Amino acid sequence: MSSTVNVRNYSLSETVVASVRLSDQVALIVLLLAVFSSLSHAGPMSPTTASILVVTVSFCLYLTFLFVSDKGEGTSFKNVAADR
Amino acid sequence: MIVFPSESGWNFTRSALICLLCGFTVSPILRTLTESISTDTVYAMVTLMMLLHVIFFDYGIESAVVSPPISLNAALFGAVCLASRLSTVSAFTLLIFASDVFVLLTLIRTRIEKRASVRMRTIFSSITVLLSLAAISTKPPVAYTSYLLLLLLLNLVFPFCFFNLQNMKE
Repeated sequence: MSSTVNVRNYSLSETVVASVRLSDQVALIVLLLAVFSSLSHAGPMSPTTASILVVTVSFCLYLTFLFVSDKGEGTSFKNVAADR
Repeated sequence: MIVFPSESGWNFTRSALICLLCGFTVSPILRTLTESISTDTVYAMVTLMMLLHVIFFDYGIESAVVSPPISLNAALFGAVCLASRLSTVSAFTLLIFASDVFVLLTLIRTRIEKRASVRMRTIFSSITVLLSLAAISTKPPVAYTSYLLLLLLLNLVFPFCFFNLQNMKE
């Protein structure tokens, strides 16, 4: 039983985009770990926890609203799903 | 696909608030999830999950290992493991932050990459990296230096090696 493997060379732009995305993901993981570190050293409801909570929740609400707003072209979850 | 009852802004905001409230309600359970597991094991699991997230993430190149659902679930599971070591409010904060970072920001980046200019993509990536550098600046210098070195490798050395050595593939 024979199998065919497609071997192709990637262009420079593809390589650069992939490496930028990879460094983005690493940056996001580092950000998550930094937030965890700050939260674990703080008390249950210290100013650090409270400020991170407020900023994060407001950011979450903002992003959610940004994505689900039906104003403008293609800003709903349906369109994001269609994009994908 | 996420389905909402109607597409008015208020309904969506209400849905987001309900999700936040549910998350806050169940966050005390997180503490009991890994109670019988040692902290070292939890950190090892987080490391493994984040590695899985990076391996299976969609970098825009066709590959057999690309699987966005596995990537997203691994990242969120890692965040849940980390959150299980925190108090209730902190755990909730970390989970919301993780969902922002791994779900919503990824959606925004996908949109930017499809519709915006290269400059916008560069600005987005620069802001992400600068934020992470600022966040890690209070940590020991070894961590900061290692992270800078990793960024250098990821953005310059590894792509250069990959691009030049791929001609030797058979």
